[in-house]
Amino acid sequence: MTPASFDYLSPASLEEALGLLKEHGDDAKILAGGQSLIPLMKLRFTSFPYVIDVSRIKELKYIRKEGRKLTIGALTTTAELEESGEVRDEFQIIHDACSNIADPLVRNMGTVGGNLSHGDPGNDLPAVMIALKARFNLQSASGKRSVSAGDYYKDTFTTDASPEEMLVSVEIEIPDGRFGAAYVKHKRRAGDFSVAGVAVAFSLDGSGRLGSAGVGLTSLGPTPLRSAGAEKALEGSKPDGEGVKKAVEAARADSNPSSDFYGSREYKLFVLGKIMEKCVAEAAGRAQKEGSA
Amino acid sequence: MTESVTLHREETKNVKWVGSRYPRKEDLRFVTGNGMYASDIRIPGLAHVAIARSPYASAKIKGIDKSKALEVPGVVAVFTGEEIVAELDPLPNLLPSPYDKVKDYGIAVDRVRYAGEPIAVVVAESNYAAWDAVEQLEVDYEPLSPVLTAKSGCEKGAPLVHENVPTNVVWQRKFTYGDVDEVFKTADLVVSKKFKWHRFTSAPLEPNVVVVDYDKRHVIFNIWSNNQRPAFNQAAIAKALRIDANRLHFISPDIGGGFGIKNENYPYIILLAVAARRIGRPVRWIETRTEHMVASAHGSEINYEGEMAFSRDGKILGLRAKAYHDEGAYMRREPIAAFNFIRHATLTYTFRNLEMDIYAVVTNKCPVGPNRSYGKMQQGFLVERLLELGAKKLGIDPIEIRLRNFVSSEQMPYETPTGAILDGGDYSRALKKVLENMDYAALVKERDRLRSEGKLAGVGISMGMDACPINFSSNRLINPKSTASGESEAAWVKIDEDGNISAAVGTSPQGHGHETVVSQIVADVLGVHPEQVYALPGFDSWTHPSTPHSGTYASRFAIAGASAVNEAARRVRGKVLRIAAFALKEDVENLELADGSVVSTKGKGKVPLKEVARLAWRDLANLPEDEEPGLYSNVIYKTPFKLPIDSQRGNFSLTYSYSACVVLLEIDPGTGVSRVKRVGIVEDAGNQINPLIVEGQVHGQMGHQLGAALYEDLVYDEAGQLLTATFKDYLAPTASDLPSYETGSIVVPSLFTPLGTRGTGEGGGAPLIACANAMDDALLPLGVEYDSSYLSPIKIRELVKSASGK
Repeated sequence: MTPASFDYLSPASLEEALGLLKEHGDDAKILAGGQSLIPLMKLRFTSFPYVIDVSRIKELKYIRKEGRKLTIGALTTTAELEESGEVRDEFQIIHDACSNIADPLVRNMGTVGGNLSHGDPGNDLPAVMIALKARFNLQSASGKRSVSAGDYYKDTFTTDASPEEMLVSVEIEIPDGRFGAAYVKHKRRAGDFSVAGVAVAFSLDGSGRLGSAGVGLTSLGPTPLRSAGAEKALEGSKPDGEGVKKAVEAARADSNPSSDFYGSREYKLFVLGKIMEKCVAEAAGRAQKEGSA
Repeated sequence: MTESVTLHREETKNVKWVGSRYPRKEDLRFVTGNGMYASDIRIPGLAHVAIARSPYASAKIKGIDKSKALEVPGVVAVFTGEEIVAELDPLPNLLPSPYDKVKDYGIAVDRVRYAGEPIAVVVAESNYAAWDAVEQLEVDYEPLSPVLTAKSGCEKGAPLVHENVPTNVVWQRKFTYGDVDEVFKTADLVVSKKFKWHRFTSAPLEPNVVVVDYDKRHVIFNIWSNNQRPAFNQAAIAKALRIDANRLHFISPDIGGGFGIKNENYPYIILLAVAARRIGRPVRWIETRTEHMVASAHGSEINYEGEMAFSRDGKILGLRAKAYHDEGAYMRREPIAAFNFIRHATLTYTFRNLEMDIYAVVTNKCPVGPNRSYGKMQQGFLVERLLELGAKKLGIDPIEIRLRNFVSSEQMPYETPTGAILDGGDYSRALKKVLENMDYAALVKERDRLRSEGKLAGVGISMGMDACPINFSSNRLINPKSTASGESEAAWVKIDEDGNISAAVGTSPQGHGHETVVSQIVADVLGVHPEQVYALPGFDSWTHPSTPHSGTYASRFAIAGASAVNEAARRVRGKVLRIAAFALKEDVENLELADGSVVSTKGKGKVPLKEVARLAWRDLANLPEDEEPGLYSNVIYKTPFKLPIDSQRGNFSLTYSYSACVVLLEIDPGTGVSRVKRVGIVEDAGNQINPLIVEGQVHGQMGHQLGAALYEDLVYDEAGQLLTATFKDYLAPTASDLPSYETGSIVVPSLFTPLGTRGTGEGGGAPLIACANAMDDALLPLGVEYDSSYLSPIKIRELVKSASGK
């Protein structure tokens, strides 16, 4: 690989990394697992004077579960998340996504923080976090703040994080009672980006109707998308009822996919409907088993 | 001393290693990361080359300012196309006048003709600096409107891709056999269909690599590359460089897959040779994957307008087709893919009336070049798709219609209307065997079950044929001025003074296992174990024998390579026996060579091979008087070929291996995605030197063919930019995307080769074609037909929607 030249910086701590970000601002780019950045640099689609390799910062590499709350350190690899028993048993939607990211070699390198912060509408974890209404914790040399997953994505490859900020962790809290969530990705080959992907999460009340719902979409617009319309359509409906059809229509209305050789806009919107129905059914099945997402 | 020979088929007695599933000798080094590839070559003073390429499909180059590029630290030199070409003659092509004037130097001078065409060669101390300099090159382009399809290239007033020739149709010929018009007039049924053969490539894992070191003391170019037939290409390279061909020293070490594409890196050899000579240092170029996808060589792309005439009882009466070939910007091997229909135009069938109207059209796309089953799978597709449509229209079972039209084993050898002489085989047995292996009735039942669940499902059958090797007299039909005919391969076998056995062939393998197969053949002839035979790896023109046809292409090894080494070993064996007979005072007829010794069958003792070797090399006074010292034979095997019968007929291949394939395809009507649920194939490669390797070849062709049918498509946008320039977008399948293969063989020895073998490496496209036939079967309930070799989910979804409204 022959990228344009850059200075390679390798901080050992979060504090050091945030200091470097403050110092170099726009001139620096964080390198986590390299799953996306390295190919872009290799092809010289992009270049930066400074590359800050954060992989030595061990303090951001963790998965913590307390009751129905899950906190994931940004430098946790997607393979670690995929292989975590707790995640697989209780947050199956995250497992759905992780086991569908590229291939095992990439998952051994790619990180949760990188997957979420690259801002690629084709990445799988953003839609899942949007559906789960996760909160992203950002930190800079001058302070901390938190932003909801649904508000994080501003444009293609652009997030709400400023050049001095770094995503340090993700927090997910699922409500008590019956809760189900799933991610369905339609792709051509094993290891591919999706043609379209849908993440759905909801509670199920005693009468079998959907309570609060979250819907995230992959590869269906310039950014990872939240479909507020689909969420609204699902709430109060039965998982196999008219509400799902309405949710599909709403999700289509909230989407804006471009036509390419993976499919025309129309094709992608059609596929969206197919996989959304499948996704809601899968999540509803999981919701029958209390305490699992 | 080198002699030229022609061999005839004979019985091989006491065959032991040939025919066994001997594990590949090469694999240990390959699977432990110890292969030696061109990019592993290290030479002191090596400089690195990056190629600057055109961003436009068609444009004038008004000027190149290289001053900023030259300022980049570490840059050694920047050569524009104009500077390179000053030291070159154009590369030769096969086209008749005036189209022979299409100029090709492997680099653009004042006009670019495809996006990705080289425009400058940058040499630097590191690969990084070379790419930095490429970015600093300032090129003033005047974009022109590109020609992007064969059909639009044919239109009156279309922009000219090459302005010095009259049209974009650089080769056109209509071939007619029998009474085509009459049968189409009187036939009970004529089916007509336009088909698209889509552009794809075999995508070898190792991209192209060229290293050139110019030795000015000896006036020699030392050329390391992964070219798969350097001896074949050396004449063209020498001509372009205006140097005698014996000043080119070629080394092709291990090659990471070729599939035809690696014939086509010779333009880069020329560019690097000029750069190496100009700077007086060795230079290396390693192609990136994107460069490979954009600018190496693509498989052919064809628009067919086909018709097939039938009698009521399902006999094929004739085939008539127009074929528009999108050749890309330069005619390097072309129009061979376009012309190759002729090798087995009628496939496995008996019809005698045929008309093929071929248009080879240059366009502003990557040049077309050899790609596994070059031109052969395409003709199979045309014949098999029309046959399938005919069967459906006539209401005849697809198996039955094939059985009714097969050339029978009793008719062998069978001369087809184009003059091909089919070398034996039993087509109906192969078809029946694959159906039996796959339990065809159960397959159909499974298809019907899937349909009852609301899915689309189809069963598809296809025959495929792999005609090989190439009788180069076929070039005379492309260009009457061609003087070529036949083909050949060279091999030597040597037993040294200590009894060590070595062998070499000119075939430049690309992972085919030639070291193993050569060892098996030599071991049998000399009565030793294959481990006692050292087969030289790769190809080095100073150590390996070669002829102008040498290399691995056109599935030729099992014919030409195997026959050459077999004969060289036999000659050495003959000499071993003569020397042993003299030492033992025994008649040669009473001697046998086994387990490393020559033994008298009449009890007159034995001589170890090692002792014969000592006598032959060291104890020359004890040799028979008329015996030349040494144990060495260099053979040039001439594949028995004749001149064309007339201007459109001839036998242009020696063997015609074939396969029968059946596929069960399931299509999700919602997404249009096809999945191969089961696929089986039975092929006949004749006698198999190593069935393990043949099976590997079948797996390889299966992966390529199913990949092409289901995943791989080279897509250009309206501006002529390739959209599928990386493995993210060019969907070459991985193991997890492909089904299990149910393979099988029958063996009907070739009537025409010394070992009864047939070339079989490329395969004839049967798996791809069977998928296309299965798609039609699947769409039958909806009343629509499919028209492409690529099972595009998007197009299938559109078709399903338009037919079913759902």
